[in-house]
Amino acid sequence: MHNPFPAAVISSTRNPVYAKQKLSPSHYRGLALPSVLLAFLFACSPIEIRADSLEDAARALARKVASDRKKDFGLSYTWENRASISSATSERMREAFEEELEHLHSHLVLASDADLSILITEGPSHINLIAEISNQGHELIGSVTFPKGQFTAAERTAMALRLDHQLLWQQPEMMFGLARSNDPTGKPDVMLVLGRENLSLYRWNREKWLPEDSAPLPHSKLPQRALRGEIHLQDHFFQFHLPGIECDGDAWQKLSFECEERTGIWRADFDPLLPFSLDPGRSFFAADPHYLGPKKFSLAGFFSAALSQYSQGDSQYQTTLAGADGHTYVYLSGNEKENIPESVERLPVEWGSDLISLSVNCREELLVVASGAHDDTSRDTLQGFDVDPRAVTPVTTITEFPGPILSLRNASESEAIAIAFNLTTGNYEAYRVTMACSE
Amino acid sequence: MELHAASVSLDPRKWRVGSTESATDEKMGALVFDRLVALDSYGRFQPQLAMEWSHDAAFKRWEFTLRANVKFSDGAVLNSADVVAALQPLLPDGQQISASGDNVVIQSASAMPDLLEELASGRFFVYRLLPDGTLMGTGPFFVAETANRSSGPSSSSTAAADSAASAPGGNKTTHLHFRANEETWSGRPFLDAIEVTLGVPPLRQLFDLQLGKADLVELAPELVRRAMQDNQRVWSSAPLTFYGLRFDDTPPAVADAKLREAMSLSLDRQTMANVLLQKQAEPASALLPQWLSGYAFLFTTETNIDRAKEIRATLPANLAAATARLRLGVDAPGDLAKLLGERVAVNARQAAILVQVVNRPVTHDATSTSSDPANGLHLFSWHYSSLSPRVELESMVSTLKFGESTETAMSSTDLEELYAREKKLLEERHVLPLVALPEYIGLGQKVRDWMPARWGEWRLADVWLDLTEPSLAHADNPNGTATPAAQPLAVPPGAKP
Repeated sequence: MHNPFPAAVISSTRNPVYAKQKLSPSHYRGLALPSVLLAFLFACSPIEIRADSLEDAARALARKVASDRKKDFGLSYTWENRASISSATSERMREAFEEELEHLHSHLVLASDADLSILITEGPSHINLIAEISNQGHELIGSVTFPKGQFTAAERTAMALRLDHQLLWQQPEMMFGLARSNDPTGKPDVMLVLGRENLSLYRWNREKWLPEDSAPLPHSKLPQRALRGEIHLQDHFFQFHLPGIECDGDAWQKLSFECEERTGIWRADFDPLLPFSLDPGRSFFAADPHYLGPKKFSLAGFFSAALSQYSQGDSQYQTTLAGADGHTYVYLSGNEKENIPESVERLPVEWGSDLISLSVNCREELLVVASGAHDDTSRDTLQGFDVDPRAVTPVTTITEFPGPILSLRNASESEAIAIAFNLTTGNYEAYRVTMACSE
Repeated sequence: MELHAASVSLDPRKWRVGSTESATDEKMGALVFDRLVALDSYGRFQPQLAMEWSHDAAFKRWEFTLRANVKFSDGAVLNSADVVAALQPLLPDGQQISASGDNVVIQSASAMPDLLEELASGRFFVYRLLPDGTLMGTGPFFVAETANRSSGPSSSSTAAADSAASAPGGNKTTHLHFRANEETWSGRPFLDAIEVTLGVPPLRQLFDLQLGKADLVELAPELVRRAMQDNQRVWSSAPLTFYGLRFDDTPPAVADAKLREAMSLSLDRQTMANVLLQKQAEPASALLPQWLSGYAFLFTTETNIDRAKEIRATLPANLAAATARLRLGVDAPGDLAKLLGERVAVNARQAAILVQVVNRPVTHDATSTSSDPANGLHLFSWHYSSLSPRVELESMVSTLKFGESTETAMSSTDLEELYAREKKLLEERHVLPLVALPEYIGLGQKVRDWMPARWGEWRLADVWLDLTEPSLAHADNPNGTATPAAQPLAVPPGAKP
């Protein structure tokens, strides 16, 4: 058994202090009968349960759920973390919850859709673990609270996030895109570098990239000073875009690709019903002028877009856009069911024209990474933000690059490639950008 | 700093819990006074005037050890008798405070598991009452001067602040001048002084922010979008002001449960929040907000005009009809409340319930329940001020009197009991939630280290002003809104404004 609950703990330092709350009854220690009796007691008496760890809170809630015989909530449950605790902590709690149910011979299976929902929520000073049945409206069937001040910084979502960048490649010739792929064992395999004049193929050999092939790029009918391009590589198949041009190819042994002039979707496909394009002679995206559908888009154009929220069920999403007018906007898709029209809100920030969204394992939502509002004579920066139409909150430290960032795009949901021009060396450099949870 | 409120009281004993006025009072009070404990943004209780605390196993007796050598702004040393004298009038009935040497003890016949949340918020400031009625504080600032535009500078005390603020002619702009308390135990604030102008209309506040005449203004919800479009820095809190409808029990018409149900089904809260308030508010389905209770999502509201009409059809034809309209008294102050009242009437009319909106005089107490008995329905506002959901709910119920009169206030902080209590109140439909509104603050470009709590504590003692040239500031701090990340530039914190 646990130590009986100490009445109080006194701290005498300037450090955070909090009177220790009365602790929860002991959690399961291998004695099924006492647990069942405890569960019965919880069901019969409305005593307040306060746990002494978040896992204890989950176990206590499991006992409450197991004891609630009157409610028919099926054999499955959903688990949702709506509080400022990390995904890892939430998962540990969920495991403790299931483990306790197993001990009590109540088997529930995690499912995406179930009548019983377990939610972690929070108030100003407490984390709440709530069991809710939602078959006929919402009904709370059990809850456990835990003082926020008693869980460690590592368990918080609000911990500092770090934006890391790692140099992948540098060359004196201009480039504005780079893509890499690995072999089945996870070792680097192929790298493609999209330059102003050429597409170059490199292969990993003896722990370094060796040039294998190079091919000239097609030229746009309308040359432009600020040329943009982007390349994607999957195994040895690749696709790259230049304004008004799309090319598909293969890098199996040598480079081979075919190109066609086209206006239409490049990568800014955040609204599946509304096509955007980066047309010849332009360096920004705009709604496809040939589109004849019912949707409207009020922005004249945008340089880049970062999806930051997405709810597939209701087709709701929020996209942060670096507008062609130099301002930053949030595009809200609206919700037809709730009669909320789509809208574009301007954010009170001064960012550069490169935006992407990145995921990180200690945060559930996608975060927006934005370049700084610098010109090409100064060192650029990247910083991660939590974007809400009402507020923009920086969530990472500022990462500085040796010069202006020329291109920023996602290589995956958790990784981006940034191309920067090094003002000191005159080289073009490609960086791998990731977000990490600081300890 | 510019505020909309025409008056401020710096006497916590006079603050009316739940009123919008008390929200401003509390913010100004936090400049002058301290509490025993504070809650930080991570949910941890931090020592303020109390260094340590403990409680018995039943949570009925709490003992607080006071910080040594704390001085009031007049130089007097804080002692336990001061704390007892200050807090006893503020504590709810049943809680007694007494001095025990250098400690203070708070006791009650019922458990007080949420006493720290209670003491870390609301009006529980420690002050010392001087014979002339002035209240002295230990906080980071003190009132240096108060002035009424018509009468010029006056004296420098909290009593003067109260009297100036409550002087006749409330439309006249009143100024409060706070100066840094050099001797404060928490360390001298970075700002040397804070100039507060009261009674500034919302649009004027926005203009003054744009022109750089003010560093901090309150933004009315309808001006938030405009301010953002103008690239102004805008901060918003968690939803802090609740708007709802309250039915009186006395007129037989509104005592009808079916009428209340029909009214509830007719209300289109989404439109109120998204159209009327331009998405600057949230539709409310609970009395306590999610950030405070943690369970508000369990309550849902339904708009169903057809069902509302069906229910209306079962009621007597003359009830809430053309000859005897239901009178909706708009008790809450401000144009926003009037707009909401009119929207309620429009919604009700769709369900064939005729409502006559009766706007109240501006000076009327927003949370008063001694309203015109002829009104069966009231639109009220409630400003959340406690960090304890139990205290907030009980304050709401007792002040607005929408619970059963025979029901005693609950002392348990158990979430399930609190949920059950709120659920019962909502199911009775004597009160119908409408919307919940955050607080919006416009910040000047010079303001740094603006790190408020999401429940509306401004923490102005930590704020400083960046007085470098704008172009230099811009280059070093490209992320204009990122106040927490903003680093001091050429001028260190504490530079004279």
